[in-house]
Amino acid sequence: MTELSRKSYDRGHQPTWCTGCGDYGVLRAVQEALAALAIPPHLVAAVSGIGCSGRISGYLNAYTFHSAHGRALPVAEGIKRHNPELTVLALGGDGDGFAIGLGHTLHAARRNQDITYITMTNYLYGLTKGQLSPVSPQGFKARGTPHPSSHAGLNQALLLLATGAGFVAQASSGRLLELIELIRQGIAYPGFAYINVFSPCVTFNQVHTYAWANENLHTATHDSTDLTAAMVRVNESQGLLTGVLYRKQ
Amino acid sequence: MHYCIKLSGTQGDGVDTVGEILALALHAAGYWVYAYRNFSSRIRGGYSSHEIVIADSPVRAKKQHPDVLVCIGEDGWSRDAQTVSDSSLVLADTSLHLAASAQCFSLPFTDTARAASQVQHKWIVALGAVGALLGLAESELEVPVAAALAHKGEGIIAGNLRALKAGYALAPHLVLPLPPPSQGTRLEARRLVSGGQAVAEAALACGCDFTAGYPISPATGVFEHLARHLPVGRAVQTEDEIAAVDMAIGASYAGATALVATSGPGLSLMIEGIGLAFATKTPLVIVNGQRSGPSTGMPTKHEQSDLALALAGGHGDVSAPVFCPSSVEEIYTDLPSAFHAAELYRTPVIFLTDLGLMLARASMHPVTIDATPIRNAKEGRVIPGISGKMFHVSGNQLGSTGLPTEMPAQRQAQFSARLKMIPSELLSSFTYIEGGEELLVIAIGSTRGAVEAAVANFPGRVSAVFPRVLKPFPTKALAALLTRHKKYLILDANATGQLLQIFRSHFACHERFVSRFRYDGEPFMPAEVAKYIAEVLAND
Repeated sequence: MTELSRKSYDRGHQPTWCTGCGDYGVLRAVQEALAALAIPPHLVAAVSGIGCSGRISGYLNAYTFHSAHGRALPVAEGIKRHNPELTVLALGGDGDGFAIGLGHTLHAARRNQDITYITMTNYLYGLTKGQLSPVSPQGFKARGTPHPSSHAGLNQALLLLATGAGFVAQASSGRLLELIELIRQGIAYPGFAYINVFSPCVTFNQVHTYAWANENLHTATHDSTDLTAAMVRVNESQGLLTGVLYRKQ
Repeated sequence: MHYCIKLSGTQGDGVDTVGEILALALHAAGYWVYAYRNFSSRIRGGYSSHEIVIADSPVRAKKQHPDVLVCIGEDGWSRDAQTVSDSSLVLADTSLHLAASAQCFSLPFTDTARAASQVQHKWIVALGAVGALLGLAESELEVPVAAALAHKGEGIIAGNLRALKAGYALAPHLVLPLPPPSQGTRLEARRLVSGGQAVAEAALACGCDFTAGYPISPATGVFEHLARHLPVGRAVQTEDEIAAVDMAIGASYAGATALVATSGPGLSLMIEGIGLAFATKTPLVIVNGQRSGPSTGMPTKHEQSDLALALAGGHGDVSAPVFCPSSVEEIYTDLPSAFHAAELYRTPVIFLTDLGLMLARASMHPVTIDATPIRNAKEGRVIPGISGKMFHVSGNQLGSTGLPTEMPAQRQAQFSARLKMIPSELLSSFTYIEGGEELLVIAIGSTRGAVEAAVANFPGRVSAVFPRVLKPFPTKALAALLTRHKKYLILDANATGQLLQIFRSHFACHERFVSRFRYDGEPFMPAEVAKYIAEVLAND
């Protein structure tokens, strides 16, 4: 068998994403993590939702399913339940997983199938040209919405911690090595694993940029086996932490 | 012989359990039985009744008037007093204080239960009285009573058997003995099953190995039955019907033979997933038990008003086949066809039933299912895990490279090819009951029971047809049939003529269609259908 490398998981199509999009980093990191774990591509099923991030499944060389908006997780769970031998990934954006698909996100986490769920968070809807997302912070002004957001932004990691998910991590698309390692750990984790990636939209979001991520995201230093500590820190930091936030022992 | 025993009372008081026991006992005694439950959308209280029709040949419809009405409590009497005819016999609990007459007997069901065991067993006392009335041996009821209550322990069973005995002793002067069932009937291997049970059993026989669902009347029983028989983790109760259909899509994509069962409100939510399954060429069977709508409507009442939704099937040109069985037997014969079509044409298939079909139990001859064609159709379907065959599926229009395309020519070519995967007509698309050429009665689903009983009153004059496939609509096959008849009477168990509209959209002879509607939550009755037939024939 030939050695598996990142290329083994590359379908060879040029992504439609804008130059500099954070999703390139996520695609690369998923491919590197799968290679590091030496999982043959035909034993990988990747399901994505809708939006710019939803295109990611088409670029992965694996069994890939580009589902409907917000529905990546139930499709992924059905695949995993029928064939537990497969490594199953679900991928989508912050709108996909926390607006239209929020119910599925919370319930998939509590049903705890061995799935790795990766969200690419850019704080807005990119494909529809810049509307508010459910994680857009209060006061955030999006191009497609006339007034700054009057709604509180969701704290994704805190929600996932509350579901009882056994592995919750966050990373920045701009820090590739850390991202690869977290995705590797998430896939290797025997249960539902959630990895939220801060993945800048270079076209519509002038606030949550790579520079913003470098300045505002801090490495988690709490005991990641302590759920209470994780919830306190994720709450205090408004979710702006990277690393493994919680890992059930 | 054609008797109807109606047990009418208050929900949660035992009327439904006793109805089930009586139906089972009469079925076991060799009669053909049809048992229709009418219950309220609440846990306790409110009207609940169980109508048991007994005949010496297959029977699939209620009767307008019960031959025997058994009532305990105001909920039952206030609703069903009006269903009594001059020839009906009424057995009423003394608490109702009905004036005794040649037809009406006031019997102390409640007091007898209190004396024999406990007041909660009053319907068992009534069961005993009915058993004596019909000439059933005590043992014929003792066995199903003990079986139905087996999970409640010896003490409860003993108390109920005392109540049953006391019921038998209650009215020795009342006798309405049933003629014995014909010897041939008694010896036949027959089963008493509901449509919901038939769906679940047929699904398992077809090789169904995955389901996901959300509780909803009248489909909950299908999920519960499958959950009892599938391995843990293969029947998943989800957060909503959207997740249910999508999870089944995922499982099917991975190689499962998947089915979801729901009812109108759930079908509304599943429509998105049906579109996804159609676009991604994922086989899936969606069973819909129609009930009163729109919105929550009357959730425990019968209706056939999801035809338009099922046929439209979603935004865009979703062309998912729609099967429409009209008997428990056709559930066993046509669910395999639905699974087969799903695999063969790589498509979601809607299996459209109704509340009457799903919940009523009927005596039937067992139908054997051969799952070989389904397995053969699955052969060659590439599923995840096979080396070197990786591919991409998408709700987006894919082009020749396997990635989303918006190129006009590619879209048109690819989508035409998708639509052509489903043939323009399927086999066994209707059931025809040949009777005569003056009138053709057209109905679907459980309405068939009333129609078959009604057309028997017009020998040589009236035929009936029950479409089994509504999409692709069997235009050619039905056209040949329609030309043989002068007029068509369409029975729509909905308010807007959804079945009529389908026929009108396929056949130009609009003046030959006459339609009747019913949407009060009750199914069409044989006498009612016979009246409509007589009206149409008289106007000719």
